[in-house]
Amino acid sequence: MAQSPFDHPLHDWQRRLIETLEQAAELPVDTRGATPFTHHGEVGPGMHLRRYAPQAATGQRPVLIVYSLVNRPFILDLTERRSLIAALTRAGHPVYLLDWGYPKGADRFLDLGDYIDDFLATAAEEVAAREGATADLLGVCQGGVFALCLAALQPQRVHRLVNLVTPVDFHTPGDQLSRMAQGVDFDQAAQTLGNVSAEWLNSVFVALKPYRLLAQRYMELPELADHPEALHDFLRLERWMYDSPDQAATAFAEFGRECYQRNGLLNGTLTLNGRPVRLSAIEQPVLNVYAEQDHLVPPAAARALGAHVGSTDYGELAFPGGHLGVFISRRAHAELLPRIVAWLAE
Amino acid sequence: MASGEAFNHEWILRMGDATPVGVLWRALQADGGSPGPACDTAFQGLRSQLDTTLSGLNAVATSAGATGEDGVDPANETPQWLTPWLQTLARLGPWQHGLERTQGLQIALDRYLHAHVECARILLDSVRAGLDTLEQRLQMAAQDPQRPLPEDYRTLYEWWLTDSEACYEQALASAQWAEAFGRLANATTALVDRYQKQLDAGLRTLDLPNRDDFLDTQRRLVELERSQRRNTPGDELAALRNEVARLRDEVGALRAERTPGHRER
Repeated sequence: MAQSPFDHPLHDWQRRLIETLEQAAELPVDTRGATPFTHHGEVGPGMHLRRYAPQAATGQRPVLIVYSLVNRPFILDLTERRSLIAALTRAGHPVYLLDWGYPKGADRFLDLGDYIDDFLATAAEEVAAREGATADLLGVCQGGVFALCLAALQPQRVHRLVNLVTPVDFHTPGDQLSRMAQGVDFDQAAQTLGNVSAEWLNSVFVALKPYRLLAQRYMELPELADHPEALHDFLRLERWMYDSPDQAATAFAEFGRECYQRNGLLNGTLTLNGRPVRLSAIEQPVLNVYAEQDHLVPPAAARALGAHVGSTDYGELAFPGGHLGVFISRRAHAELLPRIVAWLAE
Repeated sequence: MASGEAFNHEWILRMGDATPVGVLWRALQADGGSPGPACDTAFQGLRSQLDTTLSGLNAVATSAGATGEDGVDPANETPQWLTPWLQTLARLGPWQHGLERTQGLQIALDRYLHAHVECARILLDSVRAGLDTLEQRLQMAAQDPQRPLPEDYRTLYEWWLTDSEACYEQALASAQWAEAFGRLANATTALVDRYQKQLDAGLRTLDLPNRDDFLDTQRRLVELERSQRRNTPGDELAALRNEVARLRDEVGALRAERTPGHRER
């Protein structure tokens, strides 16, 4: 099996890798998102409410998107072809996105009560005042937890609720993130480290799937040579994965302790500003979307909502894919998003 | 020089040797496509790299000395009898606070090193288990004509990835890993805390603002903003909102008047 290195199959792979790297160097990476928006006020320190205008005047109710604190929301508007936000504006919804921004030094003392009971509530109030109708909330991952809390504590601010890949039971079997969180002293970490570094948190997420995220992902990069659109999408997603804000220390510690360690959202022991959050108090219609191969929010963690929510109008949608697939996969845009849009239009 | 020119024979060889799959692929080729002596040597070489890394880590942990909750290694008798003396000496005299801080920092550093080694050991064991699984898979395929051996680098890579990931995830799912990760996170925090205390004390001696001072100011600021936010009467908020909306309309009207196409009547 004597081969010269230039006959080696690896040789073609490496040559294509170099071509891809050269093409990638020419491409810009924009993290602003594909859909134009206007700023509509500041609801907290560095937290802005964005408005995406509806593309058709159909009189649809406004949708307020509540994104997680962990990453930046441009994954919802990655490209024109793969934009959850654009799918909603095309259906005639004025869409609002609460951009949590990047916490600064003093924000380390902001707690979950500040984030949910104050800033999110203010955003919902602003939307209702501007649009003349209470918004439907679309919560994403941790943002879904925030949306549930608001619906439970201030039901007048939420018309209906769509949750995407949102954990509710933090102690389900197979929840690797939760297992790792059990021994961590979150309060000591918050007190000592201040706002939790995005790099540190990203390294924890990557450590859940290092072979896929650090090895296989780049192994497939050469296949994008001469596919500029796919390469551009890859670069944007790559930027999104690691363009993370630091986490406000107090809120992060509270979320880790009360949700991951004490399972307080499910058990009803989570309190905000002294008031317990009861899922049974949520009576608005709820659509709960979960991903069947989600390694961050296992299906059982999301589906637990059904057994605890007070609403009699509760539905579930299962998506055959992973955590991110819900936002960016072709299948989600072809099959899942139309069903969400249809539910919102009911 | 264009990248194509730089992409030469030597570069390819170096790239191949830099990854375990590159090493194994080259060995598989040398064995004629079916695992033989070259593959045995390659697997042994990769395992011995892991052993070297692990023994280096163990040496660091041993030199750190502390393992137990009390910061003392039961296998090392000298620190065990010396530690109480040192602890007591650190409480005597005018420099006792500084000495206690230094001792605390040393203990925190030792605990961090042990926690780090404990995590690394679990992960290295999973890498070794992945290699073992891949080797068995190759040997079984070589003996079974129904199961084809990898005929290209990509297939071997997929085998390595699947087997290694399965072993890694098994390690991550263990209670041992969850506990080790918790210990490492907490030991890291404790070490940072000790460094902060050292630094704060130095700054205080020089009458410079330290971390405590900054945090105190930030806390007061956030509490003030929170109290203002929550105590603002609803009517006042509504009035402000209306005023902002009115001003926005006014600005919009003014801008419209100043657009080039606009003509005054």
